[in-house]
Amino acid sequence: MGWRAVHGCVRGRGHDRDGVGCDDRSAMASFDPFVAIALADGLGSARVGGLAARWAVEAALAALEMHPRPLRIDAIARRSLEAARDAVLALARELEVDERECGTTLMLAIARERQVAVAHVGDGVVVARAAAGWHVLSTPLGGEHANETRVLAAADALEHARILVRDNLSACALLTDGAAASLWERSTGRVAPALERMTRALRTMEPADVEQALRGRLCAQLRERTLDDCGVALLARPELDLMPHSEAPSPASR
Amino acid sequence: MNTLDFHDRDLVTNPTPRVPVALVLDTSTSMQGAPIAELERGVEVFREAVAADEVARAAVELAVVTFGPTRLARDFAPIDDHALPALAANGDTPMGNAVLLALDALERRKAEYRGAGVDYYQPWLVLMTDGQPTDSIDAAAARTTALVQARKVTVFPIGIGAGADLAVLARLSGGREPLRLSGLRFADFFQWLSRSVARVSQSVPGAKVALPPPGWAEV
Repeated sequence: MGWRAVHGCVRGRGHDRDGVGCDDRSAMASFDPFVAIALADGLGSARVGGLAARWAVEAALAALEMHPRPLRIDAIARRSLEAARDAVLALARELEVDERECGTTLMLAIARERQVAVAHVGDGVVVARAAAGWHVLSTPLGGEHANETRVLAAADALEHARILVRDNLSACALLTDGAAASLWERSTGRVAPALERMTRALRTMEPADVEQALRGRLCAQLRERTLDDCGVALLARPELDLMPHSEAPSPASR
Repeated sequence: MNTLDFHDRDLVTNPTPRVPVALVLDTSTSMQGAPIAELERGVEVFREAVAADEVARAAVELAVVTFGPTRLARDFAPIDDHALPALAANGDTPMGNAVLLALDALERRKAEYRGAGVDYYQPWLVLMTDGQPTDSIDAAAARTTALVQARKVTVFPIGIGAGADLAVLARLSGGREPLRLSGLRFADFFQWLSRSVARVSQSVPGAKVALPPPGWAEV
């Protein structure tokens, strides 16, 4: 069993009230040897934030197909991020709007064999599961205050982007801030059991069924607890859970 | 086919992001009579209006600093946690000291938020006076200007009556134009303030918060 991915987004109650659509966008892609997930949160204050979020996730994943295989995985993540930013800037030009109207964040996780690379711009949280359990990989890259964030179209977005590579993870989840409110405990760093349950379910259930549960039952619960849109993307290789830590191959052994 | 259900125990709960609001209120001798009574009523209107809003009630934390003499009459706490202080008019107008005391309280509270993993919005400092400072405002002006420019605080400077020196208030607001309260419309001002903080408390990352028009101000 290799890497499996599920993802989904739900419109927040605040957007219901204001009569606007969901500005979170998620996607997954599988191009041998990569499996990847992307999740973006379009800014509600930006005129086409939701559209920019869609262009960002699609461009980031499409770029994977064009990477030369020997490239290091962190370089691949950076190139995907650059492709996403280029796409958002192209959207602004095409619509003849200021780049600020295309405000979106982006999180990306790319798995190749036993390595996972994560790229992160803006708010949202990235968590991961290793042999010792779940932990946080990347916290919001925004300002000091709750309604401040960095956006992909900003001139310094790539300079401030967080790119990480980890070995021997059994799962990695991307959470927009709306979802993180119920899936990641800020004060302790604890990751909600729901992500462990989905990871374990991927051992025995078809990804399509897990994704249906994510988009239906989980998203319904998440949106009851926040006004914001909620987006979740999960990349998991469940059989690694069964491997004792000492038997996990080190990066040097490959 | 297996099914995958989720329950409350599968999720975690985070505290509501806070909106710290510091009211820095002139209670000097010149506020005696109707002004101090209307100001006190206005603060109560604010408390009631915030408490009536589901999100704002959990988000807004209110501190009250009074000057004449300078006193932290209510430290930051949720709107329903403590009673509002009784306001009495006496003394002179140490406005600079009062602003510094409020900024110190804000910094202390923000450190507590960070220590507890609680998100917070940009703090608001509401400065209301009917007169001129009787102490130096240089240090307070320098500090508020630096904080406003760094987007660390928003200052709302409000003059009460014709005696309020709007030029002094402008020095303490980091660029926001002071407004003069129309008559003794404290209740209208605090209604506006509660609607404004309610909007902030429901804003999400990247959102621009448009404040309602200030119908309580002189044009």
